[in-house]
Amino acid sequence: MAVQTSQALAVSEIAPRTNELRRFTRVFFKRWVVALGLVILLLVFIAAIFAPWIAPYDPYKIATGGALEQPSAKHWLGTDRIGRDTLSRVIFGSRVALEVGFITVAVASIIGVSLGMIAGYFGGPFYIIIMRAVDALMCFPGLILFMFLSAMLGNGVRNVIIALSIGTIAQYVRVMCGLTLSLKQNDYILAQVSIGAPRFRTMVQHILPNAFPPLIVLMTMQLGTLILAEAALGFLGMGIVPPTAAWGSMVNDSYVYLQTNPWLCFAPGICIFLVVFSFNMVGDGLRDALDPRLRGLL
Amino acid sequence: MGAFIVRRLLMALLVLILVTILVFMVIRFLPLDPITLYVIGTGNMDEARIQFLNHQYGLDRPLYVQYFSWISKVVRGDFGYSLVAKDSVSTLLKQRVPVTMYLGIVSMIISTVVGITIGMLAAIRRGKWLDNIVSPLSVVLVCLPSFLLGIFLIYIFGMKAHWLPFHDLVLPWQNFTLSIRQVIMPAICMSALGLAMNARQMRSSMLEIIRQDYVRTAWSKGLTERIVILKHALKNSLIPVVTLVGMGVGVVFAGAVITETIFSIPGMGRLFVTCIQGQDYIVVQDLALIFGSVILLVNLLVDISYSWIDPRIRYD
Repeated sequence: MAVQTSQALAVSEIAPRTNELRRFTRVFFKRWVVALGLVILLLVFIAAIFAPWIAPYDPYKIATGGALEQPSAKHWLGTDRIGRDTLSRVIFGSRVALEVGFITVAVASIIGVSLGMIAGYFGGPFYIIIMRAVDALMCFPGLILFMFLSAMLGNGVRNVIIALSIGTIAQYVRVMCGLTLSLKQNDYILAQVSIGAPRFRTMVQHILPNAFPPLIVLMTMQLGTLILAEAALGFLGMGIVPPTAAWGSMVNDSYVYLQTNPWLCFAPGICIFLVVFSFNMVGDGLRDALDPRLRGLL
Repeated sequence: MGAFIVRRLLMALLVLILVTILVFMVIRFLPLDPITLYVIGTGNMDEARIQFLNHQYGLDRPLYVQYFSWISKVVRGDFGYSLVAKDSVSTLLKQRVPVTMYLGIVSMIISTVVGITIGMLAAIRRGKWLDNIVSPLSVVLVCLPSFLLGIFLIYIFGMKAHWLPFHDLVLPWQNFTLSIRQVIMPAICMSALGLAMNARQMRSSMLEIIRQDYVRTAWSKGLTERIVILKHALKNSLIPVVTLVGMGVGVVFAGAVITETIFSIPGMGRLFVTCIQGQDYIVVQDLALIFGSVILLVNLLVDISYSWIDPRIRYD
């Protein structure tokens, strides 16, 4: 009996040969919400890329109809206080949201991952200085820090991207530092050290690729968080301000007409929710497909 | 244990110093010098007046002198004098802090008590209707922008149903019934995120705990469900939730900024927004420092209380 059990275990321990890509897609699409998230994201991307062709009106053209019109066949979501078409503005708003999200993630992750890797790999004073600075940044709740930084930098798309990047670097540093510390213990890194490989090469060629799966998941989820943060700033009248068509500032702009024209507020608000939801779901799916051990950590 | 606390305190002190430097430097890099802006705002651009005010606020002194004089005043409880509100920051804080604390405490209670209860019930009734709605609902609440939630609440319960007021917030000792009616919607708006996170964390840690041997032993002794869950399982499954409750303070501050803006509540969050818009750098500087230090303190308490809650955790 005991022999049989151990044999059975031995057999099941050998992983069956699988096609990695097929396994990835199977796990990724197992939950229907993940697939839904991906579909929504695709639609938003299409809307952002083909905005000038999809949008029925010019989002900046004043008085395409009367001011504050109710939703109708001509203006599906009505018009705002100076007669601009809400639907067109919402479609163009996806451009700003995605632009801010992707550029910020790129900037923050490049800086954050490098700093985290340096702190984790070299340790000593590098670790102490970098990680205490990260602690100081993380003392501020996200939104407060973003407001603080964007007040310093002023308004506009570029400044919002800088403010959000500085504000989110800490996350990447923390995750990357932890990953580097644990990866450093592996034999293949020790082997690199023992043959006297340059430290820069060890970090870039051996630590970075192995830290990639959790980083990809973190970056996907950050996209949602950043779009939410940008919208919150816009809602507070900071960051990306009118006339640029951005969802957050549209909500801020139309908030006073909530009683009479609720769709002016609801439409951009629901778009923010859908995009954030989709990025989170896709991030969840990626996590399960790339490395299920990260569940609960990221 | 004692050594750990000392080391943790020293680390927190270092971080606090970094926080003050960060706040101080950011303010000094504001695009437009606040004094100039203020003088322009009063209508007549007067070089002498700018110089006078700069001197009065000590802005013509070297940066490190300004930094140390600011710190030494703050330590003594002197937060300076607001440019725009024309009042001392301490007076402003005396009016604003109780409002935010009231709102924050109510929403912390909601998010902790309701979140933990829902998470616990979902775990012990696994697969039943409550469990099936907890995960999707918490995802929705995490992704929903809090201003959108606030706007929905105002539209449905304030504007259409006329059930609740959605403007201003008075303190309970000023007008109790009005204050309770006013706090409901902002508190829901502010606690939603924390509630979702607590419920999700509680559910997963409870599921982990009720599979443990000692819980099975408790069941096999024939104890009732109430005693097994509340006396044996609950305490241990609360450990990971403590961190989240600590983080909840940060969520409250960030939430206060949005919630107080939507519901026009005169609290610290609203003050922060108006002062950033009005470039009132002294108030912004003090508020940022207060937010940062409170969160630093809470994190410190969470870390220290960990070793007390869970003696298995050893620090060396």
